[in-house]
Formats: sequence, C-alpha cells, structure tokens
Amino acid sequence: MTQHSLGEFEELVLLMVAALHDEGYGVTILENLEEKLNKKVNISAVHVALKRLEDKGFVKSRFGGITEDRGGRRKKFYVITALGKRMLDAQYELRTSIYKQIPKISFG
Amino acid sequence: MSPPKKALAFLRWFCREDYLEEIEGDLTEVFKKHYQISPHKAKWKFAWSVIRYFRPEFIKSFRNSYQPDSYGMYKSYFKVALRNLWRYKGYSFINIFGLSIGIAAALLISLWVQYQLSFDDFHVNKQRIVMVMKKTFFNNVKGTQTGIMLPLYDELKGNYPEVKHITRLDWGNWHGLNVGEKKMGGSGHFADPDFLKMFTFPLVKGNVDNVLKEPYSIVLTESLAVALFGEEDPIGKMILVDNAHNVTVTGILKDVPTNSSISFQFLLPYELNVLTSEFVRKAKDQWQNNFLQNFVELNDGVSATTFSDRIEMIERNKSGDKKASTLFVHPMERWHLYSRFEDWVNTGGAIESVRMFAIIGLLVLAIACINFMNLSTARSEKRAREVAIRKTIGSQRKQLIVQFLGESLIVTFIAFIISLPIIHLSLPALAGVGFENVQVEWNNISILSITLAGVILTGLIAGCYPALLLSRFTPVRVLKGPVHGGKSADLPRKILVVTQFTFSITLIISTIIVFRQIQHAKDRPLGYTPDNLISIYLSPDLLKNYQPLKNDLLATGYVEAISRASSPMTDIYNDWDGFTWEGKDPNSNPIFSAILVDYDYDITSGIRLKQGRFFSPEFVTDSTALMINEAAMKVMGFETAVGNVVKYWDAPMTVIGVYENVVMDDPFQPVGPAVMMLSSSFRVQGFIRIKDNVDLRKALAAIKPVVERYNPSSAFDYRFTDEEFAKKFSQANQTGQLAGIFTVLSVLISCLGMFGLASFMAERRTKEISIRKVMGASHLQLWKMLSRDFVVLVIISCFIALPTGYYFMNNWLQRYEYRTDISWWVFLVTGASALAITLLTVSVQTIKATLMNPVKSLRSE
Repeated sequence: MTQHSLGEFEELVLLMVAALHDEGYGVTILENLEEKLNKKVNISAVHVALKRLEDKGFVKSRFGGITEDRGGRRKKFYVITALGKRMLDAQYELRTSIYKQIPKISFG
Repeated sequence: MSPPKKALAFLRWFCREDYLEEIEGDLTEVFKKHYQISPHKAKWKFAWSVIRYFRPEFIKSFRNSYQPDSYGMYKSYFKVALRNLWRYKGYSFINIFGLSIGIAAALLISLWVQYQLSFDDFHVNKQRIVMVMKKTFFNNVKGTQTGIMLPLYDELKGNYPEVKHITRLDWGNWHGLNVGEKKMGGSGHFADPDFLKMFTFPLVKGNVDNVLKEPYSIVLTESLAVALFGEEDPIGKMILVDNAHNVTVTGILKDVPTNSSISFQFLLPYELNVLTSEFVRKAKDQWQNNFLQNFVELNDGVSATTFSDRIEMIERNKSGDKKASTLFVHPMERWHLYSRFEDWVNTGGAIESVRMFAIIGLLVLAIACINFMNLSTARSEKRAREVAIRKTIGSQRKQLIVQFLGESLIVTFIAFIISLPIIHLSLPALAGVGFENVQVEWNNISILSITLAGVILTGLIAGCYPALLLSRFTPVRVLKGPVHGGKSADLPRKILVVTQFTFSITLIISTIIVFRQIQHAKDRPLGYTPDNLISIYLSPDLLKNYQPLKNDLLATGYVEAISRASSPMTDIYNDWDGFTWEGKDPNSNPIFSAILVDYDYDITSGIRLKQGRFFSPEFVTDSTALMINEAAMKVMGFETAVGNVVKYWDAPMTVIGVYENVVMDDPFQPVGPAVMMLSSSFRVQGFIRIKDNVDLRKALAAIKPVVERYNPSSAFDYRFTDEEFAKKFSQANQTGQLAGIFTVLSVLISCLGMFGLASFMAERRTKEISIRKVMGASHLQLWKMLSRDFVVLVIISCFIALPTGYYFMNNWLQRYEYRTDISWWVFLVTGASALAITLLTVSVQTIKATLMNPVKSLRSE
C-alpha cells in the first residue's frame, strides 16, 4: 500500500475526476456522481474530498474560465496526477485479485 | 435570483481565501440549478451547505489576520505588566497576596450575606404568607410575642375571606418515633393540612390534598424516612409516636432547606395534638391562653397592613377584656432578618449582623486596595521613564491611563484566581462560626457575573489613582535626569495609610469589646451551680416511679441529690400574673416567672438562700408556701420578706424564703422577678447533681441503667446544664469570632502594605543612610529616623480610631441591659499593640537598611 489511504467517497471522487479528465470541476463532479450513485450528494462533501485528494497529491487543479452562471467566479478544474492514477490502479488490482479468489458460489 | 446574502457573508467571513472563489462559484451554480425547481428549497439548501463548510479545513486561520495596530499595543501593555510583576517579585507578592486575602474575605462575607438574605426565599407564596403575632402590655412593658390562642384558627378560617390558607403550628418538639423494635426520634411540628399548600415544602410521595388530614397520620422528610425504613417504601407503614399513638405514614417530603425559618423532620396533624392533649382541648375556647403559632396565606391583593388592621381587636372583642392584647401579622420576608420588636416596633434583628459584616468585608477589601494604590504610587518613579518614552513616541495620556488601569485589572484578576482556593480551604474552617451552610455556587450565572463585576470594580478603584498619577509625568523632566516623582504623592499616601490603620484599629477595639461583653455575661454570678448538674426529661414512666428512681440513684454513691421542676435551669417556661400583696399598687400587674419545684431543688441546683428556708417535708404547710427571688422581693417592696402573705389570685401563700437571682433566660438581660411553688403538676424536668470529685464517666455509667430500668421505652438522654448555658452564647460567640477573624485579616493586610512601603522608603534613602553612617550616625539613630514616619502615621490613626471605636461600641453595648463598661485599658492596649506591630513590621526593613555597608551603595557614583 502507499502511505496515503483512500476513503470510499474519496475514491469515487477520484475516479470521477479521472473519468471527466480536465473537464471536472465541483459542479460537474457532483452531478455525475449523483447520476451514477442515484442519490443526492452535498457539494460540500465533494469539496472536502477534493481538498483532501489535492493535499495527498492525487489530483491537481487549475482555474478555468468565467461563466455567467457562477456570478463571475472562476471554475476550478481538477485533473488526476500520476500518483493518483497509480493509486487507482493499485486499488483496482487489489479488489480484482481478491474478487478472483471468491470461489464459485451460486445464490440461485 | 441571487443566493441568500447572510449565508454568503458568513461563508466569506470564515472561509479560507484560496478556497473561497471556487466554493462560492460552485455553490452559486448549484443554487441556480436548484432555484429553477424550488426557490425556497434552494435557499435553505444553500444555507445548509454553507454551514457544512464550517469545518477546520475550510476555516481561515484567524491568528494571522489580526489588525496589528491596536491589538499589538494591548499586547505590549500586557507584556510590560507581566514583566513588571515578575521583576519586582516582592512588591507583586505583597500586592497580589494582600488583594487575594481582601477579595477572599469580601467574597466569603458576601456568600454569608447572600445566605442570610436567602432565608425563606424558596417559598413560592412568600409575598403572601404572614405570621400572626400579638402585642402585650405587662408590667408597663410593651411586649411582642408569636404565641397566640387556639380559637383564633377557627375564627380566621371561618369568618375572614382574606385568608386563603391558614395553619396552626406548635413550637416543634422532640418526639419519640418507634418502628417495631427500632427506637428513634426527631423534632417535628403539629400542623394543619393547609401547611403544605401554603409553604413550599414539596412532597416526594403522597398527595398534598390528603396528607395531614387524618389525625393519626404522619409526614416524614426523606432523610428521616430512610433512617426509619431504609430502602422500603414508607407509605402506609405504622409509627408509634411517643410510645403512645400509632400513626400511618401518608407522605414523604423533601428535606427542609437549611435557610428555612421553620425547620422540622416530620409533621403530625394538629388535630392529633387536639385529640391527645387535654390541655389543648381545654384551650378551645380560651381566648387568653397563648401557646401556639398561626400562619396565614393571604389572598391576592390583601396587604399585611390591611389584614393587621382587620384582626387587631379580635381578642378584645371575643374575651370581653378591654385591656387584652392586640393582634397583627408579620410578613414572611421579614421573619429572618427583622425578628426583633422593641416597644411594639419592628426594629431589626439579623439584618444588623448582615450590615455589620457587609461593612467589615468592604473595609477589608478597601484596606487591600489601599495597599495596591500606595505601592504603585510609591514605585511610580521606577515607571517614570517608561511613561516618558511612551509619551515621546506619541502615547496620549488617555492611553496611558488605560494601560495602568489594565495593569491593575490584571493584578486584581490574578488575586481573584488565588482567592478561590483560599475560599475553598477556609470554608470548612469557618463552619463553626456560621458558615456551615454557606456554599459556593459558581455554576450560578448571576452570582458569577456579580462576582466578576465586583472584581473588575475593585481593580478599577484600586487602579484609578495610580493611573492618574503615573500618566501625569512630563517626558522632558523625567528624561533629563533622576526625579522623585513620588514626592507629589507623599501626602495622599500618608492619608491612605492613616485611613487603613484607622479601620484596623477600630476593628481591633470593636472585637475586644465584643469579647469583653461576652465574657462579662459569662462571668456574671448565675445564682446556682451549673457544673456537675445534669437534667433529664421525666417521661410518664419515670414520673410514676420517681420515688424509687430517686432512692436508687442516691444509692449508686455518685449522686449528691436529685430533684425535679417544671422548667430547666436554662429556660423560663411560665410567666404568671395575678399575684397581689399588701401595699401593691392596684394599677400595676407585674408578671413573675414561676417554677414549680420539688423538695431538694435547692441542694440539687445549688441556688443560694438569702433569707428564710427552702421547702421541706417537715412542714406540712409548705404546700401553700412561696419562695421568691431578690428581684421579686424588690418588686414587692418587702424589707424582710419571710412571713409575708402573697395572694395568687384567691389563694394566700406565705413567703418562707428569698433566694439569690438565678440567670435562666437571656444572660445579657437583668433577672426578672421569679417565684417558686411546691406543686406536683408539670414537674417533668429532672435534675441530678453528681458528687464533686467523682469520675463523670463512671457516674453516668452508673446512672444510665437505673434510669433505663424505670423508663424502658426510650434510651437514656441527658443534658449537662453548663453546656446548655454555654449555648446561650453561641450566637454572640459566632459574631465575636467572625469579627475577630476579619480583624486579624485587616491588620495582616495593613501590615503587609506597611512592610512594602517601609522597604521602598529604605531603598529610596539608601544613599542618604550611607552618608549619615559615614558621618557617624549610630544604628539606633538611623532606626529611629526611618521608623518615625510610620509611627507618627499610626499614632494619628489611633487618635482617630479610638474615639470612633468608643462611639460605635458604646452604641452597640446599649443593646444589652447587662453590659460591661468600656475601660480605658482597652484603648491603651489597642494603641500600644498597634504601635508595637508597626515597629515590628517596619523594623525588619529599617534594621536591614541601617546594617548595610555604606561602601557598597556609595561606590556606584
């Protein structure tokens, strides 16, 4: 394992940042997550996760253009870092390897 | 369609700047989307989201965002203040220690005062509850008493619509309470069902409408119930009262608070008293038999004064006696603090002690404040340079005043913190002098805020004078060379020292006189011998077997004599009128204390005969004989009393002897006229005189089984007469001891201040002393020179304090009929000891200064 751990919600946000590659900012990440998870998520939760991911070095951010919708404030776009990608890969590998160990069971 | 302003402002206030734009932007975007669906919900959601950002990761660091200008200045003040405290540790100690003792004393006294003021405060109906009292006129003396007649209850209850609730109440007695084999007892009252409806003594179990209704029932307090029944539910259980009446427990009360004028462990229905006592039954129609209390809760809108007017004449109208006493009511708020009546006028009571101690507390605090002022101004030149530099840099006087006031607030606050453990440690030690029920309730917001306000006020008062003085320095003069800025403060400082010592010396005089007065009353001839005398209550069983009991007790060999009477040696139970004799002024109706006695009362109690003889079984005629005391002889105007006939109503009685006045009632009052009769009724007080020179413990061990043999229903219970007598002084002793403690404190604090001043003076005059020494001055001369200033101040204080003390204490003594004189030596001793203490305090410093090597201090220039 790497020295930083990843919470469940953090992992989801990180995945979403990776999926939206360079187009992801607070609101898009929120909406996409809500759609996938099929439940309401508070924007503040997304921000908390994003700040933590940035502190851990899994994502980096840049300011984007101004739009009318935001009352003149800039968007902050997030993009996954190499470290973040490695972290996701490691998580994925870990899960799949354990998943594969599950014997064939039938719940039929 | 903009987001809620307040939420946004809040977000902007707390949120980190580097996150703010992103969060605000995202929030607004989300808000706008939600707004299309439901504007109302969107606003709530926005606000809720903002609140959710209020967490450590998003809150900006306020530490780095202060406004550096004004706050930094305060920081500098604070730092300088602490540095100064630290640098002059001795002065700081004197300042802070003196102030903390002063604050502790003042706080302790305010706690006590608050406790005294809280009496009966817990009754919800306190504004409407009154006690019925009566004004009497006997011996040309206007008296006031709480004892009233029994029929008044039915009269007030039935015919006076002003009365909402009314209860009778006896004086409260010890009653035996037996549960099965368990024998216990406690003090309780007989009361009517309304008692619990008008007074706020909440029931834990039982219904307020039912308890005390059925005559054979009882209501216990929680702690008594636990003592009697343990964990069991007491409701419905039987208790045998006084070994005679079976009653059922119908209710449990919360324990009576200590700040209650009425206190008891259990309540019995007054109807039980009526059913079981023939005396009470007979009193049903007696309008002039006063033996119980009545309490009334008035209806809304009825004032105590109007009700007093309404009931004033009841006794006269009912008894037909035009000279009978008049009735009035005393409101509950005045029961504890204003209980004393003089000539029918409600003149005071505990409120006087409350006022006296409040003043003492303020004085002690003032003395501590003066210390602070004096030491600050005396050392002002040490701070002169700092002031000058601050002014040069641009400080205004106002700012400097703020600085020095702030310093004194810091010192006061430190002193306050230190006073808290002092209070906590001294509270248990003060338990014996009236503080046993005083508690510190810091969780009470109002007490806490009043205390803090007091502390701040103290700091401001102590600090205002030094602040004004210190901020006055002109920079040019200070910076040019060394100044004696303190010179201008010399006179005020002297005045303050004189004030301090005037307070302290007055307190010393007052305390000495209070103790002298108590001792005076303790030392007065009592007219009997209280040592080795024990009294027991003669229960019906003991009365029946009195003769064998007496014989058996005498046979133990430890008992000198045994007798019985209607009242104990330390109290008067009966005041009778109706005595006539030859030559009596027909218009006067003097009242006599009456004691019904048995043979041997004289040798048992040790009363002293002046004329004639005591009752003796050898004279059959003694059943109509009378003993009188000296005061009675004076009232009757007899030259030789023996042989004279005195009529009690219609019965003629012959005086057979005169005895020395016996102090039974108030030891501070003269003994009133008293008579003794040989009578078999009411003699329930047994007296046992134990032989001199025997071991008391062995004697008691021998007496106990004898008494218990004849009185199997309860345990041997006895009182030492000398101890009972000493109890009469407990109130006075408490006052004296408390005054003594605070006097010592005030002297201590004054001396601390003087010690500090002396050390400062010695330091300031170091060079002068050295030069004088070089010139050949002796140690004694130097010591005299340095001490003189202080001695003069203390002598001036003496001249102010002695007459002041005389004036106040003379007034105080007028309260007591039997009082000590204020002799000159009290003043001499006080003055001399004040001087001695001063010299002792000052000499520590002056001797140190004179012993110094002059080379060391002169070398530096």
